[in-house]
Amino acid sequence: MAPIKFEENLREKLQERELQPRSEAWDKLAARLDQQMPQRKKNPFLWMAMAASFVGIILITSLLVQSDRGTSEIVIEDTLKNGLNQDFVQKEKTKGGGTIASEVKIEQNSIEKETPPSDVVLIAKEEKAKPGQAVKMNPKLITNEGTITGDEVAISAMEETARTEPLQSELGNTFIDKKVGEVVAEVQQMQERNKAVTLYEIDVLLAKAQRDITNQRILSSSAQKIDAKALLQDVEMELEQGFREKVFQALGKEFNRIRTAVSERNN
Amino acid sequence: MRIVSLHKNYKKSIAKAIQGDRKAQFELYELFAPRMLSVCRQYMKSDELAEEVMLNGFLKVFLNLSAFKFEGSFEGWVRRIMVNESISELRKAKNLIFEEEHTLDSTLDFSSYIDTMLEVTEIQKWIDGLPDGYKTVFVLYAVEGYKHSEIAELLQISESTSKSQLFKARKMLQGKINKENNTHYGTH
Repeated sequence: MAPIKFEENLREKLQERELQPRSEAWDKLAARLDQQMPQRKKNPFLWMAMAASFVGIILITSLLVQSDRGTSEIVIEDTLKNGLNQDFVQKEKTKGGGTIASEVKIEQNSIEKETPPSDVVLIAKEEKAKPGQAVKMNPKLITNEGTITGDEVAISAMEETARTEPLQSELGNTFIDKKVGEVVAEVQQMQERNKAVTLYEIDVLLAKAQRDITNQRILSSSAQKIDAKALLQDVEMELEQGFREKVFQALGKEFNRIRTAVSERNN
Repeated sequence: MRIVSLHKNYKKSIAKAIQGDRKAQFELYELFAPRMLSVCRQYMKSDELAEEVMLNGFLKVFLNLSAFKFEGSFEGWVRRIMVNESISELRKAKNLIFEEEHTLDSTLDFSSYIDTMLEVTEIQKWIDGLPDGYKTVFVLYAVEGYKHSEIAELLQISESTSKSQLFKARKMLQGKINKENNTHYGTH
């Protein structure tokens, strides 16, 4: 065997050597480290802050999502309100020369752009009365189609309803005709009883018939689906009914007052 | 020289240990303690003393860990701390006595040969038999690879004293080797 240099052998052996310390050696070192180098403690508040931030982000996100939904709901309500654009104009009565005129104009616009606007103009117009001449109360219903009178009011209103409602084909004309007939019959009965049929009463009959037609249309829907247009029109009618009732009540009072005043003057 | 394989979280452990993470400090301790205990044992006469010096050395390592700039070997940096700590311990015990030798035969070249590989325990036993002064210089020069100028600065002695201490250490060791060889071959 070749001679081995002592120092080279010694260097190799000592550099490669590993001695295992006792198990308690680390404990002694850790104790010294605790004295001179405090251990970094995990900050529980850091984790709590992170958790709170995460929860806050979730809450803010959910609130933003809900506010977006609320915004869309508000838009729909505003659309409904704007659709019922009602312009009430009352001209001042003028006295003098036996002429009293009052004009009330009511316009109603449909809330749906798809359906043609149905402008119904109801005018209660006092004809010019000469002394001694009885006042003829001739209520007229003026629409875009022209001026129609008396019994034609019911028919034109029903036709207009049928024209503006796209689902009339499903319902068929029989039910509409039936309703028209009912309204006409009711008006005739009222006339036979020698009762003056006011515009208000006619309008009430028309509104009731319209409501029945709308309900029938919804119920008879073969697809068993809720028609948004029908619902919206139903809502419109209900809102319209309230306002119209008030308007016609006011009209009725004023009309009666004017008629009484004219009669007394002529007498 | 077997290089301690770098742990995959080596640098992360150092970074955490600097922050006082006890778990990271233990990981570094566990990785280097066996090698460092061996270093300290080269200078100290017993395992218990070597362990104590090692723990002191690790304490200084963790307290000054931020001073390590990753510019060289971390093991080498720790090893130097262990050597310094060992020398400080010997200095405290006042065992480091260096006799100044003014006349030194610089032509004497130590080249002792042995026939068989020595066991490390036997080598340690021979080194333990040397005086602390001789042993320290011999270990620094022959095992750690320090130059005499570095040894002189480290031990605060002259280079000539370092050389004479090394000479005497070798002389003593050679006597032991010759005795070992004579015993092996049964010359006496």
